[in-house]
Amino acid sequence: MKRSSTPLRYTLLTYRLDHLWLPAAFWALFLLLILFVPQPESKTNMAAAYLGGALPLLAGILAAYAILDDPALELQFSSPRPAWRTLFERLGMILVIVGLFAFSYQACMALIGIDLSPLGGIALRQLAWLVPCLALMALGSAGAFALAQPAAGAMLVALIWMVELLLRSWFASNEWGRYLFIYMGIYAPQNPYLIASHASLLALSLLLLAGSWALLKNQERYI
Amino acid sequence: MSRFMGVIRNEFGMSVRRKGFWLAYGLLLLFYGGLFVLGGQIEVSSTQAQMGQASAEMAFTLNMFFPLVGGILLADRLVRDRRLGVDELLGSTPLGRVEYLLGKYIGGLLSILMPVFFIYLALMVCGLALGASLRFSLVPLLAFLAIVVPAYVFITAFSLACPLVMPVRVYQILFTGYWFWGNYLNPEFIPTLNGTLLTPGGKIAMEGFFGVGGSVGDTGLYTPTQAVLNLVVLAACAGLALAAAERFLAWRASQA
Repeated sequence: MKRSSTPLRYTLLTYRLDHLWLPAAFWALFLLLILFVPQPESKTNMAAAYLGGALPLLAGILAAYAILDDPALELQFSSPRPAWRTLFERLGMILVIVGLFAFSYQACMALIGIDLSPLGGIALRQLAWLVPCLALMALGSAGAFALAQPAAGAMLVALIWMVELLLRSWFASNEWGRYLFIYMGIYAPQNPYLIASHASLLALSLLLLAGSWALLKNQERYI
Repeated sequence: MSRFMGVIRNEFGMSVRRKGFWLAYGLLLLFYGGLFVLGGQIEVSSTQAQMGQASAEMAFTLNMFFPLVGGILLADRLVRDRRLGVDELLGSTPLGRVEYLLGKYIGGLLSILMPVFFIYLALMVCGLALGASLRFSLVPLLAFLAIVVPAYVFITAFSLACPLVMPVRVYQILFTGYWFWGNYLNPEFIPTLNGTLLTPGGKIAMEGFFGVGGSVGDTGLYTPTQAVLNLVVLAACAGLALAAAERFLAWRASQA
């Protein structure tokens, strides 16, 4: 029991502070922008942009660096810990932090009277940030392990984030693109394919996470 | 001089030998290839002006994603030298700090410009093969120099300098957000650098030099003077970023 709890304690003790202050800084920045934007519709769009746009980008790039950027990586690999557990702890930590900021942001929006109901009911609102976060985290992680470089995973995340953002109307309406569209929950929440899009992204995320797990087992690739 | 050239050669080689580099550019080439073919963008231009406009539009489209990838890939170049102890090794050689930084800058810049240059080279060769005159075929090169190169000059400087004072992953997140915010967001929606002389995406040069497109808010096309000013401001910002990086490296060396 003691042995299994030590790495989690290590993760907490060596946790990088930018994982905390960066989402917090974005949180504050978006809140400020919302306060300064006059139109109510723009306020809702801005609130949605933080949840479904900024948080997934943060989560994806932080996930790419979650394991391979550890200065004590060799030491970590020398401990008798299954790869899935390391992956689960490191990515889980990022998801918990992102989740806390997402929930607190929604609470803050409710307090200042920003209406998030255009994004759907409570469950759909949570899926609007959770699904893209999971998808980009899985992509960042798999990309970093596949190329044995955290920067490569981060680059893939940034590329997909930007491509889908600039071509959002194409992705939302295309027969195949909509199943890979990470912004469906905030850009087209009334789209009849919303649930199918979320389901396909979740399935893809699971596949990428399984790939990350398989790649992480080949520890000698990263040392 | 040979030491300086050695740093450039070394940086260029290290940068282009990365698997992630070719994967990213390969994916982008596939993406753009599909976009141009599916969107019917490939047209034979009959006049030099049309050729210039088509090349400028292509440069602007390429600038949406290629500099983003380049900036992210270059972000760890200086930091990596410190992490691996290469900077200490270089510090014991006669290589000066300015030579080192400029060598890193030029090597990195050339490496991320190379894939886009090849695209334009292919266009020129295609033009020549189709019987166009050399002067006509050189028009895409002008778009490359006026729209593509300034964006890369700007982002390379910041991608080398900024990660010296913040974690690489933080810079990559901020840079990705910045590239969208500072180039493609409508200024009427939220305050943005888009539309100011600090816009590196190439919109001002595209409108000012090639007369393509229209500015946000129906204010008409940018003028050639504004385009020149845009290039000067971008170059000055890049110079300032490099100067700040040099001062930071000097300060850090004095603390060691």
